[in-house]
Amino acid sequence: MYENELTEIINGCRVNNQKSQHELFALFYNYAMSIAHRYAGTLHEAEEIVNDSFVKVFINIERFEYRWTFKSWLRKIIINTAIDAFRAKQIRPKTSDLENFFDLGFEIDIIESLTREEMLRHVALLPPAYRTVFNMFVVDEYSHEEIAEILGISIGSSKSNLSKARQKLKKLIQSDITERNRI
Amino acid sequence: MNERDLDNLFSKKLNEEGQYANLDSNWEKVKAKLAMAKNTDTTDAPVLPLPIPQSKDRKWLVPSLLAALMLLLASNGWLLWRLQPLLINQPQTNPSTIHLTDTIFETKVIYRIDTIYQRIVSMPTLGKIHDTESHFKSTPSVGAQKNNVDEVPSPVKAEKLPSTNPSSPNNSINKGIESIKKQEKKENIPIIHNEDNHSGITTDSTNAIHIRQESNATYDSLITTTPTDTLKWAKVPYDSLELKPTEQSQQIIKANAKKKIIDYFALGLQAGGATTVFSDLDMRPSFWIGLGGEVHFKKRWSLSTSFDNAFYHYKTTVRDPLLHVPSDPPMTENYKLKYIEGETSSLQIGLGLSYSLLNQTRFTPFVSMNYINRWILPYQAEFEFLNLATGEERSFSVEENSYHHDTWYAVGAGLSAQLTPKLEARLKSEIIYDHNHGQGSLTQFLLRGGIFFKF
Repeated sequence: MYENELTEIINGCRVNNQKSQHELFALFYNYAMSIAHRYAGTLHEAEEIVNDSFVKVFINIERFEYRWTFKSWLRKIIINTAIDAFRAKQIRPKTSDLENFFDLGFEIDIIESLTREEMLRHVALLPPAYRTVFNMFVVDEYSHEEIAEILGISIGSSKSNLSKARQKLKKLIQSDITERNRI
Repeated sequence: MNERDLDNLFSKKLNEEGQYANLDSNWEKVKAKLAMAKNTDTTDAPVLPLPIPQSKDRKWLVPSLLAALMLLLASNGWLLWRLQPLLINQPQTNPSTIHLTDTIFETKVIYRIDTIYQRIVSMPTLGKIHDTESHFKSTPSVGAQKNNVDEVPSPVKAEKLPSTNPSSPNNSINKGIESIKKQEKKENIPIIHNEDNHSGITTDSTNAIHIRQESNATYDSLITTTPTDTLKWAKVPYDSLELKPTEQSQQIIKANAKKKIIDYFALGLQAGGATTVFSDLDMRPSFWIGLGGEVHFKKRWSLSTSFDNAFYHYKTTVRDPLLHVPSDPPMTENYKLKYIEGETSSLQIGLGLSYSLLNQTRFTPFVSMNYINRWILPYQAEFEFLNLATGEERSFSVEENSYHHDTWYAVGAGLSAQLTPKLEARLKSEIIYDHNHGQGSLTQFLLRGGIFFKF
């Protein structure tokens, strides 16, 4: 793919050609799911995010400019849709369950040995607020200032959520390892 | 393994594209959603994230309400200020101001007529001095004279009688006096003046001549005819001729004023700033805003109550009890607390007593003492830790979910300025002391001003 082929499909989408829309959907479905799955707790939620994102894409395709790459535009829309979904069921994180995470430590090899699916499973177990900040900061490379502005929280909260997300992940991985060793 | 490694590993793997089955049902769902979106005319649906719902950001609410309240008070004050000259310049047609006094004046006039009438009816008897006994019995004047002696005539009756004698009173008096003088010269009759002015009739045992002393009789009529109405008018507070308070009336007003305990009520809006003194906290001044109510009594005293919302921002390493800092997150020994930062909001209810040092002046200094109850509302604090080994900084957001209650004492002094008869401005400084903790750091200096409307 491909510039020309993609341009043709996008042009088709601009005139509401359903075939083109279906082609675009099929072409980027995997990519879109890969992003959405990180933000969503479940696969079903990820599908919802992807579906909503594509609806936005088709409705706003007029606003897409060719000097952008379609992938990055789509990525932005998916992340924003995921954030909207997060906001819709946002619950303030409680800090009462803070534990002494800092004593947990393990080798880098253990993390490296994890597959993408295993990582996704751990990320999905994070509370939504932690998961969102973790994805935005670590994977999608937003700054804390941007995260604070987009999510409507303070910079301190963004930092705090990220820190808690890391610690929680470490704990989840640790228990996973323990479980594996026991078996 | 440090956190950067963790981030890099997760970032690398999660950025990889996964494998997801693209079922036709997915496309069908998108088609359905797209159709629905087009039907509902959402062609301009936002690509960027939706704005934060307003319900989650109500910071505008309190300032807007306060602004509206201030606007209301300002417009009220302005209206009063504008109306004041008009009310002062208005012709005094208000019946309560005047003109009860006019009525009083006329009532007195009627009573004087009564007096004159008695003179008039008495005078004809003077021409028949030798026949007083029979005259008393036969003429109408006898009745009038008897009234003077025995019973109290009503002013109403007196008013009706003058029609019986249309002659001029002054002429009759003069004629009567002259005839008496002539009689004295001709007959050389000794006249015994009665010492007792109440009877108006005397008896000379030697000459057996009864003489009525008209001058005394007239005077008596004023003294003895004391209907209850007359006594009432004597206490009227205003002189009907001068239209000024008489000495007596002033005394009455003063007496009434003494009976009045509550002078007036006042309601107002007040705002100010407070800062700590003797403190090692990096605490910025707190902002206070609220409503106040006052009852002024005994001229110089006032009881007040205030409802304030105070906003504090602090950045500290000291767990000062004033702040009610949440407990630290559990950390290992490697981490040292850099600072705690928080923004608190508290509800404060105060009760106070003030004493004005001057009375009835435009600028009035006063002293006051207050008892303040404070409730810190739940808030969030940020803990910043430093790892002494690696230099890494960690930030924690900790929620303090409970309400904390403090009691404070405050003493202060201020100045009250009368802007209009109904509007008062007040500037007050106070030293607030938190008696629960007894630390210097808890002493605060508060300066605030307010506008009060008097009722």
